[in-house]
Amino acid sequence: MKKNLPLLTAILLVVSSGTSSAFVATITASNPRAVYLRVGDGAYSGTAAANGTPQNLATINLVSTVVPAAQVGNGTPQTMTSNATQAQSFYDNFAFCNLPNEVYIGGFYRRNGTTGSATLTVTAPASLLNTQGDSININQISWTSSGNQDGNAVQPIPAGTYSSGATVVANFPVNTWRESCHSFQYANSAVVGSGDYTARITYTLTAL
Amino acid sequence: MKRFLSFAFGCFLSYSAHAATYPVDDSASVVLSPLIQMKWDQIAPNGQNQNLMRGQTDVLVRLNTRPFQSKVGRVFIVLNNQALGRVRATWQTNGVLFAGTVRSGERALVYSGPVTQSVIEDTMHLTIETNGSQLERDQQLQFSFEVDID
Repeated sequence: MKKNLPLLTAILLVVSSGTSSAFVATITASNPRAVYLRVGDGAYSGTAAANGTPQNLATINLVSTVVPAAQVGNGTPQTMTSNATQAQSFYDNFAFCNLPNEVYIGGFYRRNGTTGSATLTVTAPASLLNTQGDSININQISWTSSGNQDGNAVQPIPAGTYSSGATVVANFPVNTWRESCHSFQYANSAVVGSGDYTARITYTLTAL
Repeated sequence: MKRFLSFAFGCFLSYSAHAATYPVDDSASVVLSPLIQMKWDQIAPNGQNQNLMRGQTDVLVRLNTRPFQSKVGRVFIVLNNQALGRVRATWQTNGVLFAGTVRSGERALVYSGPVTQSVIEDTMHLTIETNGSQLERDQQLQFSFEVDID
């Protein structure tokens, strides 16, 4: 019995000597959040589909109409046109909008995670003003929404009418690209004095 | 009677020691950048693989193979299942270990043949890929090694 004990002890030690461990690496999302918005003309290096890079463009486009004197205030809506030059979507370079009647509006919201959305807000003054101080209520300007080859699909940035102050007009869900083409019209429902009436509209895409 | 019992017990233990997969001690391995910065593969969401995130680090791998010296075996790297979903690790090496790919919950072969060294060393140039939409919080990836002994 005593002679066999050393052999038994040695075998047990071999079986139990396998230690286990692991090397650990931690993954963390680096600068995962981004928003991009283009209204009218914009800038992009390449396209999103080809992993291009969003760029900044300072251009502010003009949407306008001229109402003949004989038609002022007759209630017939007046189609507005823009001076934008870009009809293509930066998503894939498709001619999404029809110039000069339509203005492109689109962009994306990027972040890690599956919840949340970015908010598209339109900020408008109460009125368009001329140099004489005459005004046209901003709610005389409205827009429809469409996009080439979208058919009757619901537009992500839907139709609407300007109102004074900040108004949320759309939400961009996380990790989506959203785009529409807007056609503007002036309601022409009030008789106003002659002159050039202007207002600046600001579009803002915000994510918390 | 005593001699017979001892012999039979010795034979039983020998059979068990050669028939299993064993963990390999890699406690001396060093991850050079243990916090891996994962970046979007695509800046904008754009369709296929649109939420892929990718990051890289180097690992100085040191495997204590002393318990398996003089044996023929296959060494595998194991990546544990991850709560955030599928993770894929791909690596290049300096030649001692095989290059390859492993997905979470799986293992991949990194060495095959006689174990002649007490320590197997190599550098893994590791690339990690995962779905960024699932990476809301930092996630720890646990890699380990195991050996199948012939």
